[in-house]
Amino acid sequence: MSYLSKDSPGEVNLLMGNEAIARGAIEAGVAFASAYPGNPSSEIITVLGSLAQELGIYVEWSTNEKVAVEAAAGASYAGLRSICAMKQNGLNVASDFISNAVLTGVGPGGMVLIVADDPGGISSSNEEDTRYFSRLLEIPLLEPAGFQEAKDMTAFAFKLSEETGLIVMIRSVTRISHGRGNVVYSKIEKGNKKARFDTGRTVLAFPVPWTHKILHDKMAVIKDKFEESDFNRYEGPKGADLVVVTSGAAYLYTKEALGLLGLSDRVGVLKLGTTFPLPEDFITRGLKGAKKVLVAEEVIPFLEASVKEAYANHVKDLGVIEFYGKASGHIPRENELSPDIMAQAIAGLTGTGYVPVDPAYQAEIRGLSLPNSPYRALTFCAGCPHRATYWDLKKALKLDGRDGFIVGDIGCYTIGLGPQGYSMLRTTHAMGSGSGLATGLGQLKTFGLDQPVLAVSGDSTFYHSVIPALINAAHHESNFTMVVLDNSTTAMTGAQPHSGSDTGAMGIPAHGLSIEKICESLGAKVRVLDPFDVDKSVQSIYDTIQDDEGIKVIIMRQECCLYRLKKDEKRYLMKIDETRCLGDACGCNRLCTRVFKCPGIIWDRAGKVARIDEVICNGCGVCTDICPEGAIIREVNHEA
Amino acid sequence: MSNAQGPQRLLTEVLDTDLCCGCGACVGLCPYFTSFLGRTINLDPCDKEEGRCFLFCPRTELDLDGLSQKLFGVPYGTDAIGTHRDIYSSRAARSGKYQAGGTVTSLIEFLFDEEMIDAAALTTNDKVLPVADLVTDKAGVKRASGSKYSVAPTLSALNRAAREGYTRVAVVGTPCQVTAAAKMTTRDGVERNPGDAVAYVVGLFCTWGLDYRRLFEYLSGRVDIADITGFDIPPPPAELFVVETKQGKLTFPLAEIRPFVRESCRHCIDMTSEFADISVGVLEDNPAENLLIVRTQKGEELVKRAVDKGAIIVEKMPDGGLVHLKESALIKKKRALANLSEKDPQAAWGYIVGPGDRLKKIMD
Ligand SMILES: Cc1cc2nc3c(=O)[nH]c(=O)nc-3n(C[C@H](O)[C@H](O)[C@H](O)COP(=O)(O)OP(=O)(O)OC[C@H]3O[C@@H](n4cnc5c(N)ncnc54)[C@H](O)[C@@H]3O)c2cc1C
Ligand code: SF4
Ligand code: SF4
Ligand code: SF4
Ligand code: SF4
Ligand code: SF4
Repeated sequence: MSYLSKDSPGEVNLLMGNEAIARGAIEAGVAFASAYPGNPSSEIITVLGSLAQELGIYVEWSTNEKVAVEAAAGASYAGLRSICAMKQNGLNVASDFISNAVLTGVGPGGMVLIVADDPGGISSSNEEDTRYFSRLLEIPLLEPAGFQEAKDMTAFAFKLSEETGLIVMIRSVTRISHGRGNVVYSKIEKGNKKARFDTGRTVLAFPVPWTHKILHDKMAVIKDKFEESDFNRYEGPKGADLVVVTSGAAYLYTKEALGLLGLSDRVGVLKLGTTFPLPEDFITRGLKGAKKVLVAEEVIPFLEASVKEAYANHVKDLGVIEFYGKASGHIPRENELSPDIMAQAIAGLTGTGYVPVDPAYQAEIRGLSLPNSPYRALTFCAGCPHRATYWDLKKALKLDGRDGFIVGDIGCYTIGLGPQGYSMLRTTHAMGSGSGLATGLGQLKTFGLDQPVLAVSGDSTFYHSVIPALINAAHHESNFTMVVLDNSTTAMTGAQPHSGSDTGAMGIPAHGLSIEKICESLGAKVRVLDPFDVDKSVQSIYDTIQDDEGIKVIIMRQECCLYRLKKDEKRYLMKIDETRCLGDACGCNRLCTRVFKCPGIIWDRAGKVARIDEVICNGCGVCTDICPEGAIIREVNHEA
Repeated sequence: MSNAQGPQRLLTEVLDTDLCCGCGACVGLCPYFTSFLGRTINLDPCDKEEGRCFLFCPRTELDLDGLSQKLFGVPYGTDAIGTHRDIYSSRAARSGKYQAGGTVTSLIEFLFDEEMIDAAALTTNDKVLPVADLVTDKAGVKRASGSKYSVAPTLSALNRAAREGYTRVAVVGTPCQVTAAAKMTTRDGVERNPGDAVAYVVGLFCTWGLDYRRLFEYLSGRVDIADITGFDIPPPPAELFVVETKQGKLTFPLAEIRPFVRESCRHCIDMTSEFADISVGVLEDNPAENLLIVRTQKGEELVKRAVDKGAIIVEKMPDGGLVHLKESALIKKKRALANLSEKDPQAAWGYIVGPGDRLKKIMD
């Protein structure tokens, strides 16, 4: 039994935010969980998946977020409590379904949507603030400001969903999802585990104005509930001059800043946990007597706009209040907040002296840390098959000489934009966007486009959203080469299985779908290559792009090196024959470390030779094939 | 222009300007340059300030006087066919399938017979693509016979020979290739200089070479490429390009082929491989024989020995027989010099660094 599945009310456990959310779902008797992996949301489903058999629940890594949210809604219609998790980008994909489901409502089983945002884009291609989706699509929104709340809000969200028949959204952020804190357990409810679809019910949104009105009536009820919710509270002195209105992680930074400044008894904090629909009356009470209001939140001024709107509605009760926040420039509009940023903003508004960090100390730290930290480029792991793939693609395109180019996609292989991927990638947007761009580019021959067009995607992305683009390309006979970098896992987010894997989230066998068969069924010409076999791959890629009729698919298949090393020993043991290594002399000029750039090889400046860093090298053996002098020697260690 | 003598300059001054003649001197020295379907390609950036690729390229800093002094002990002259000792008509003693008289094939075979070389950098066909061929025994020499009219990276075979430890290599090449070989053999103080392995340089006459990719594209619709066995350009005034196939000869107007002449050839001043030990062309009056120009002492000794041992048959050329050749060679020089100063008005003679006075004289 895991610490997450113990039915031990009152017990205190140190949980990661995502574990707290999972625990909240377990306490609420969840029966069905689905997600597409994406940081910082991934652990919720990983955790539930590992407990699935013990708890008798169903958990899956879905093909994409839209399917995930639909699958969870299906379970809800059959009376089961369901949870669906995703990162901010995922909500864009899922939003189409949700925008309809708000009108149709979900089923008798409550359905909770967890969206984990990534302010600062630490592991994302954007820093989208999904709270606006709650307004846009009209979904009730909760924002946990800590780990206990992460759990409690999840359990509460199920009840609210069942009471109103609506999906309830919880918006987390990286620091909540990936931080850790103490959580007091509640009882685990059994929850309904008997599924039945009520054929007496028809789920539809027509007539729209009517169902929309029903939604608004429900929202009014929810607003009333939120007015009374314990997730909202006022802290600090009554009638304070300055009140900070905040939610989520920004609440934690605010508290820390007030502590730092010694202003906890002078400044009020209006902490909001239910941010859509906004509990306006509660807010009006909290702001009574305030002269200044600072709204603290990350990324987009969602709360700031909402609170100003509420103020406009209640201006008679409140008198003149000056608002500060993003519009006034006190709170940055990009990136994460920090206690330091909050302290500066509050100090500015209260006239308190605050020196963030002594500049001399800061300079000293910089002086000590920079020269002592190794230079690290954004790079592929040692032995990563993507490096080899880009190496192969680069050479094939150079030999072809028609200025061919690669459009891409988001995943580990996005590193192909930079020198570590030989700057081969020209574009990156959303999942599958490379293939979408390519279907358009592949139609431009009549407009004079004579460059070979290639698109890359990962294997997980292939299932997620490349397939529709390929269908489009096949139907319209677009001319391009789709390169699927198949490393057998969803590597970027922590090696989750995908639709091609033969096990799923619950660790039991799943039906792995063949990428080549899917592509062949579309009439694509398919080749499967091993990127580590450099010469063969280069030739084959070259041959493929000479064919300028229709869609060609190249599957570059080689397991993610980290995934492989979880199960197996290094394939090769590597060493460098110093007597053969030409180093930086004319004849090589450090091809391995200067151009190929696998971090498993280091340049010994003093000795003027390349060396293997045995700790970093993952033993893929590819560098042996690129060294012009045969100086890099590989010895078979473990056959795959 | 920087003072560096490295690959970045090779890229900007030779490859980017289309002056590359595809000789292969920079190919196989390192991982950065390769030749593919007749084009020389830079695969990855190399940031060296000085490198063999630049030093040996026939299209960089060509010091005609310097080469001439080192090879012949005299400054670069104004004779359009270069410095020479003797001129003969010649042919192989044994009949065979050669381009012309078979002098080249016979001499290289002879060098193997006499163990005067341990390898030869020749040019054979891979289907119809001319490729550099490192030949290491007499038996291999025949497969290289016959001219391929598109350019091959022949010198990459020399580079490979040197890397693989051969020490007495014969190089057979067009004037541009011969120039690169001469830059190698006359250059001191360079480590891993393939020139150190060169034993003999046999030059061919050359008016122009073709771009393989464009020729191939042209022929693709007209001939079954797989059936091609050879090419020929009969002497003027025929104005024909002959493609020999398994089914017989096909002729094409030379005017249709000329546009595929490489840009580099328009900037090439050398028709007779002026920096070779010996140079071999087609004898104008008799395409079944060769014209043989002997330039160095080494070349002279080789020819003498080959004649003595009955490998080739030579006959002294009467001076009158060279008028036409010299004329063509001079026309090629003038045209190239004019094109060079047109291409880059900044530099008087493009990649040729001098001697200005004699080049001026040639132009007049
Ligand atoms: C591109 C080109 C243009 C030429 N133009 C003229 C000309 O205008 N006037 C003239 O008199 N002669 C010209 N020649 C030379 C002529 O065709 C014969 O090569 C020469 O007369 C030697 O004849 P042979 O019978 O001894 O040759 P063979 O005994 O048949 O031997 C031919 C040799 O040439 C080499 N060779 C073949 N193709 C190439 C190539 N593309 N690059 C480098 N080496 C090659 C082979 O390695 C082989 O060893 C040209 C040759 C080439 C390759
Ligand atoms: S074998 Fe070479 S390329 Fe592979 S991980 Fe080790 S150092 Fe890197
Ligand atoms: S590629 Fe080979 S020769 Fe070049 S530096 Fe690396 S180990 Fe040495
Ligand atoms: S020959 Fe030398 S200088 Fe030129 S590209 Fe190669 S390694 Fe660099
Ligand atoms: S002319 Fe020869 S040496 Fe110069 S770049 Fe071209 S192939 Fe290389
Ligand atoms: S014309 Fe000059 S550059 Fe062209 S192939 Fe002949 S020798 Fe080389």
